[in-house]
Amino acid sequence: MAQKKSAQKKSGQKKSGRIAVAIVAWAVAIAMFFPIFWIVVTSFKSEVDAVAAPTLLFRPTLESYAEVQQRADYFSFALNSVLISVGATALALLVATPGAYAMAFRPSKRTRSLLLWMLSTKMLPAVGVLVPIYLLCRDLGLLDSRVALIVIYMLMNLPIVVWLLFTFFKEVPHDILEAGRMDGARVGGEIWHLLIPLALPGVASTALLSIILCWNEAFWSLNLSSSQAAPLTTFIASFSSPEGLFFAKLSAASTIAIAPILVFGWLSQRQLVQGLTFGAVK
Amino acid sequence: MATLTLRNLRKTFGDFEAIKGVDLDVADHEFVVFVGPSGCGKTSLLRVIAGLEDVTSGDLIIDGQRANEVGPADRGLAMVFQSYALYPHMTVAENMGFSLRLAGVPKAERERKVREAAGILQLEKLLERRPKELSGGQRQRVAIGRAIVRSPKIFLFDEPLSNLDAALRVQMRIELGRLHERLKATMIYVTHDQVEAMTMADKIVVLNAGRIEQVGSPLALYREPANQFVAGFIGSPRMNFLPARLKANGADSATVELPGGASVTLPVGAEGLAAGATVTLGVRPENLKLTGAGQLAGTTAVAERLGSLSFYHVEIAGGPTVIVQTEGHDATAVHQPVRLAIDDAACHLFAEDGRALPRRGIPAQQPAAAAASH
Repeated sequence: MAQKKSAQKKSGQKKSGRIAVAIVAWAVAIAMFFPIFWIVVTSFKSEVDAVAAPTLLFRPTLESYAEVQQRADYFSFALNSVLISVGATALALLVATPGAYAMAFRPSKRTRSLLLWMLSTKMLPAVGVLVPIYLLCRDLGLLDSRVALIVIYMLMNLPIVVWLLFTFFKEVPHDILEAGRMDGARVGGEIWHLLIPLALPGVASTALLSIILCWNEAFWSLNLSSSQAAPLTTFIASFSSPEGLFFAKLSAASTIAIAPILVFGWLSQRQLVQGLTFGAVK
Repeated sequence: MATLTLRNLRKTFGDFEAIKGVDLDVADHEFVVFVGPSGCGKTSLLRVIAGLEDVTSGDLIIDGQRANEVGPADRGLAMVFQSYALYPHMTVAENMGFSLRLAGVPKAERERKVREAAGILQLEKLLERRPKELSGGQRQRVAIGRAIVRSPKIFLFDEPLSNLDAALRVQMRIELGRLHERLKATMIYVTHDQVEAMTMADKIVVLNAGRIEQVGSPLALYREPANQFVAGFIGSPRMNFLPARLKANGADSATVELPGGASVTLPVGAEGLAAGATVTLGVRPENLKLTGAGQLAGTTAVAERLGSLSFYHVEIAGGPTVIVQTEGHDATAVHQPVRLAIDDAACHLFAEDGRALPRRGIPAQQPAAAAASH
């Protein structure tokens, strides 16, 4: 009897534990999602409603969207965002793949420290190199140019991309690559025909992560681009300051700026999670 | 098809010397087996030959051409890996045709060659499957098929059967033997299993601690081992070793005293050894007999009855446990005092440093012995 009771108590504890975890998880999720939710809600308000007391009861309107599109061409900014994030990601993969291959399959004594050193560069504040990079871009005539942003974003993400690819490549059995070598594959063929297909989930999630990081990057784009090469982060910022704060328009601009990457992230969620936990579960 | 020559080949990994100067000739069409305990350097040697590891010093000559600096892709060899190492994202046909695809062979010819190899290995029905849909034995065949398709100069096998179950291993052993006969190929095969070595090899290379202990035909190694290591490694169950003391030393015979005081006179020349020297007597299980009146006294401890043969583990009074092979059904019980008769003409004698003392008057029905000096 007592045993049964304790078992009941135990399962009761288990259940209450699960409920607690669920509550915490929901609380965290809501806290993280709320700002996005509020931006979307605000974007459908008029400027007057937007600065009034926070409420969900208002008359929805699309006037902010119309004004935003009237003042700035959303699509040219969006195109820049796509070109820059995809371009920087492609370039990063191109540079990182041979590097990660060498580190994973032909490691030297210093490979480990090299990886840590690469990652440690991410700990430096970006603003520390703002002036030299700005001057370099100015002297090379690369201010407000997509090429400059592609190269800078690529460099910015390279440590993470190399690190992730290295982790995924290490999971690929050496024997298979050696079999390829015996079959006549050279380094290029080995990477292209065997390594990339075998590490494809990892390569794909690395690419997705890089695209997301590039899309959301604001520091360099704000400092190095104004109109020609400006991506959506610059587009949002352009609604924040000049004529005071127009919350509804700012929210509308933000909503349409983050919408594509949100949808993209949602669709590729499975791939992303699978890739990022790839090594852990094996 | 090709020949291979190694001259004073060495391979070091950091401070560790895995291969300590190996000289070897592999003739065209020969089936050579590298055998030795784990860590003896046999797999390292195969990988050096394949080009997957660099040569540290010495010469590696394939078909008369020095190939030390030639990469694995250009050596024209094929290797079957212990893990099979199939390409998991390709079908069986793509796996087998991959080398030809890299070499730019036209599709029609590629398909013809793949089908031909698949025919030899009975893989025709599996060509569209992926490796994960195959059994271990089938994967093994695909790995071999991938090697065949290349028509390599030399086939290299790295313990290819060790992941298969016992029955399949015996079957694949026979098939590999047939394949060798059919393809008339030069093959180098690495194993730690001396039964595989004995049954498949034209020539066995026994390796130990990075050195070649002996090279020869299976029977030559069995009958005339060059040293105690080879004597103990080749043969199953292994040769019995008894500590002994040299009593008398003639030109063509030596008399030794065994544990328990019995003496045996062997047709062995023990030049250079003084009476009283410590030696080791080697005698195979089939050369010991359970009789009422043998030289050695002991007690049976374990009986392994296999039907056609039985093996008795006999504890020698004042000495080690030896294994005795008897034919047919033997009714001797365990834990019984027995006496063992030694067939002294078939015994081996090893000096203290392990080298075999030369045997005299080897009967004519053992011609393979000549190859031992190869």
